[in-house]
Amino acid sequence: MMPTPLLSIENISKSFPGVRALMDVSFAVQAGEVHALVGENGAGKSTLMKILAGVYQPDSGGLHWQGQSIQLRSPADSQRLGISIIYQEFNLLPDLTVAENVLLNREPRTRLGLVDWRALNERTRQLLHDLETDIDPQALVQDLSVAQQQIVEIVKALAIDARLLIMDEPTAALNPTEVGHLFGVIERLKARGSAVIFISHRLDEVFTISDTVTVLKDGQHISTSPAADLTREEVVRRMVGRQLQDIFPPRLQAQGGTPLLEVHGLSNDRLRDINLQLQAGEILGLAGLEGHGQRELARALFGIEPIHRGTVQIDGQRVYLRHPEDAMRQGVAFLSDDRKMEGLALTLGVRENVALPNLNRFSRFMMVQHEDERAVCGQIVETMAVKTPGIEQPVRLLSGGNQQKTVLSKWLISQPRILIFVEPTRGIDVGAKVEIYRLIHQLAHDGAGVLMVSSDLLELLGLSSRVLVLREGAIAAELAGAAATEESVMLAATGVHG
Amino acid sequence: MTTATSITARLIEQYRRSPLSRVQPVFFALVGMVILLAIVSPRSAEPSNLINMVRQGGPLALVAIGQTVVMISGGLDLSVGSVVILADVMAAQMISGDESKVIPVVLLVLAIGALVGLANGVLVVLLRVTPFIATLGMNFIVYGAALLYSGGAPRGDIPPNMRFWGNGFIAEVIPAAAVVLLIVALIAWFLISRTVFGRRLTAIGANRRAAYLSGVSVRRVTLLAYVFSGLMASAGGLLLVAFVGVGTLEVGTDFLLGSIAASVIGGTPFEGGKGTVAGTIAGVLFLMVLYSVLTALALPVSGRRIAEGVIILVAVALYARGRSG
Repeated sequence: MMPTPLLSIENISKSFPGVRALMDVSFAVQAGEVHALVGENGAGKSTLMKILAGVYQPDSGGLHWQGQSIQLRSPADSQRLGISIIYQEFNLLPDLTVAENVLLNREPRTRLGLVDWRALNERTRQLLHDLETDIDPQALVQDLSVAQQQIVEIVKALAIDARLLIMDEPTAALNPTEVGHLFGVIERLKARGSAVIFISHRLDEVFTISDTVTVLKDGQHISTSPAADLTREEVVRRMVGRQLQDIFPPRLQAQGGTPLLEVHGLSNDRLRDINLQLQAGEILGLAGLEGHGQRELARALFGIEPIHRGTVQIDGQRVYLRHPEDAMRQGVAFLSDDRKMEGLALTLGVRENVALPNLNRFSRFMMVQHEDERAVCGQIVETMAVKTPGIEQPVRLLSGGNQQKTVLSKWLISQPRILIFVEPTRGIDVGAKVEIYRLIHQLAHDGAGVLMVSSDLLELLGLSSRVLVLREGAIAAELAGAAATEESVMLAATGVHG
Repeated sequence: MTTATSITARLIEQYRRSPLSRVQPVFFALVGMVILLAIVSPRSAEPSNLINMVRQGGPLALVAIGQTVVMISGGLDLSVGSVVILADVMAAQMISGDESKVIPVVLLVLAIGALVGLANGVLVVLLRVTPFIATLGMNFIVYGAALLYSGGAPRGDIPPNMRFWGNGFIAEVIPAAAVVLLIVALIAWFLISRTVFGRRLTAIGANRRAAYLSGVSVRRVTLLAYVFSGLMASAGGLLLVAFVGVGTLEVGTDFLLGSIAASVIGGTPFEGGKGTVAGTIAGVLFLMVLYSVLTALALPVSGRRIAEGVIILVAVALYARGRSG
């Protein structure tokens, strides 16, 4: 007989307006195991994580903790049980020391009720020592590397005696040495009897560290099996639900002629001496570890981040990109990775969002011509197959995929010639993903130039004609054709030669 | 119990589908308040008295329309109370009963109001001071200027040709102030819902980052919103002095709180992104009727003040709840 699981998730369902994020999901996590949770963007991982964090309450179904039925109504409930979550965005206070962060709000006191600094530092040192790390408890968090900050987050979780640690993409910003170190820490957590839920896109890592693998797809539980019984290919097949060749359209070649976009020696605080060319008909992928400048480069080319040195030419003409307005005038469109903060005004309707960058097109003497507006917006929404009850529907009520199609609609009305896509399929389901891949392909095929940043290597390699790999803000490699593989990209991105 | 819930659910569903659901709650609140007035003091609820309220509410309505425009963009203008006072004392003192001076002084005062708005806009947009602090500071500066200008005791009076617009009647029934309000309201409505400016204003309030990344010149639009609010506040001050006939230094807080309350009750949330002129005017009328109810109850001034404050806070809190729920 199996021992009573630490946590069992039973028939959990959760819906949001327009999306069924989780449908009848059940599986169990044992004490002392590393349990990988894999699935594509939009599979329901983050919703499940937020339910375990006490942020969301499930619509139906329940949770059992060591056999007892529990309800998590707030993050405090979840912490009290010993569930600790390490989000991709750390919750550390950069101006405080490691020890102050680790024991925040639970500082040891002297008899006078003041903070006992010696005990504070000593206890933190002990916790750090348990994980065999050499971080100084008195160092300021802002002076630590990303990998060290991650360990501080873990130590913070241990300080509240966490029994279950949930890590969301913990390796996204780490180099291989740091990943190895993190895995060492995870092994020691296991040995202490804690359970770890490990959420990752990188299947190699999943197989290195996990005991059990649970696959989610489109909000449904597909399988929970021992890692030893699975292969990489089998996991991909379960995640995607179809064969790879059905997902990506055939690769495109540049159409030649004057480059649409040419960048020489571009530098700013995060970028060093970037040179690149983008031809019509080409999809140029930007790869690299998170935080190495891909995102910043895409943003600089839309006038969001400053360009300190270097030149940008569009159609052979030098251009100055100080605001998005400047880039738009040159026929550049930009799809942000943060749809909710930067792509859409969620409380406004589909029409108002789609019209926003195109108001000049619909107006005469500064007055909006409503018939023109409705006709053009209605048409693009139809062409893009945005599923919405009407163009007046507030976009916050649409699913992730339809929201993304709404953002694409707002940019495609003006028929831009250069399209910059940052994480174009983040947080959307597989069906919508495939539609967006087809669309990106079609746009390039019709003569636009596409610059794409994606942390999903499968997607980046599947679509791009060429891939530029960035490391520490500079271009580390250019890979095309058969030379562009997951392995060659990762090698260039981490700077490890071998 | 189940049947009761299902009946309620069905009623809610029917309400959602009916055209009634598109009427903003402020209009129901206004009707309710008029009925309450008719109960506590039937005489006050006679048509002639209600029309009079439109006349009295005119100045506040102008100020509140300006406030609404700033609030739609996600900002706040706390300087309106002082701008009303400055416009009020300047007009009385500079015109001093001379009919020929009315037009140039009115234009000058409007320009000063717009200039204060411009200063607010520059503080918020270029110097990146939060609207709350920028306009609060400006409130002190402008009030100080009004004190300095009037020497602490407003002088002068308004000649009949200007007073007509504040307290006169056209064809003996239509208050001239209501006509002024109607014209301004139409212009503001047009600006907010028919022009590119209005659409950009709304987008900035709904999501400033997304608007900027869609090529909206956030700075220019925000600046214009504050200029418009300054202009409207000085127009409100002019209409007030035309109604009263002499200058006053006392009404700043009423206009400040009143303009924000009317906007919020009228459906403009603090975080911006939506709002209508009609809602705001209904919010102003709601406040005017509320004042009449409190007067009819013959509360002492202190009690009336407390009741006013409490009711406004409750109304605003109810709105905030309705939105997030």
